[in-house]
Amino acid sequence: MFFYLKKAKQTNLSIFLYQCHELRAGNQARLDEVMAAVGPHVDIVTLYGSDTKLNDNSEDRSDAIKPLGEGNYDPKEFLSILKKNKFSGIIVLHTIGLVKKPASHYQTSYDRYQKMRAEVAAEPE
Amino acid sequence: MSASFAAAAKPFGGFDFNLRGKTPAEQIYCIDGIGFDGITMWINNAADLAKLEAYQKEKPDLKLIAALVGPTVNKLESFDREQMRQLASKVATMQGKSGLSSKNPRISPKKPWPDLRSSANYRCGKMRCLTVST
Repeated sequence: MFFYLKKAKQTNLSIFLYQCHELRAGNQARLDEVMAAVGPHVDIVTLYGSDTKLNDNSEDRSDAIKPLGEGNYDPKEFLSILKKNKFSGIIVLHTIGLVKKPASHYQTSYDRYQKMRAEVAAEPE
Repeated sequence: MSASFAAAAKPFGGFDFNLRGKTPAEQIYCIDGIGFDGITMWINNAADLAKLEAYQKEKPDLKLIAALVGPTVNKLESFDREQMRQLASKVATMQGKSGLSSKNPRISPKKPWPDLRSSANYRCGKMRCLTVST
């Protein structure tokens, strides 16, 4: 999408960076590189639990979008990368497709996020 | 604690709260009191826009972080300009951001997605900002 952004040449455009899109694109090992490249143009990112092995382009997002605390991908890794790249925008808990999860996941995800954020903030620069 | 990370304004908003509850009131209050700073939601049609307005009626101080529409890349007929105009107008009143969340983003057309530029010309609040997915 950075391609479109550059071509559009509109200063009011920015990027909404989906964690699930990046992981599905196989970018887990190069999230830092992605953020370094597009970070200045990103103002919203999504965050959630996820597996590391994902079904690319599947309409079933249950492997890529889970409540925080579920899945074998550690989203704290992504938070650390956001910190390293001095991201100061908005972080959104993505909950699409979680209709079968108990409604309590809103609270547990929120609490998990606050804990992760505090831990990442305490990490050395 | 990193000053830059901790001090930065970083709201934590939720996405797609329309999944719980039968009425707008039930839906918007299902997250009440948890601590989320606002919501992000899909607005792909008039019914979605009406739902946002119902949420706002129930909760006048509701913060809309962003609203997304989801046209499909390379299928321009899936992009409704009038809907985008209405979305941008509504979102601007709530100080949120409007976004195009393109489906099939891996398909890389040889020329830029023309609606990206035209959509950017819709004023979306003071920031006049439009977000796109990667």
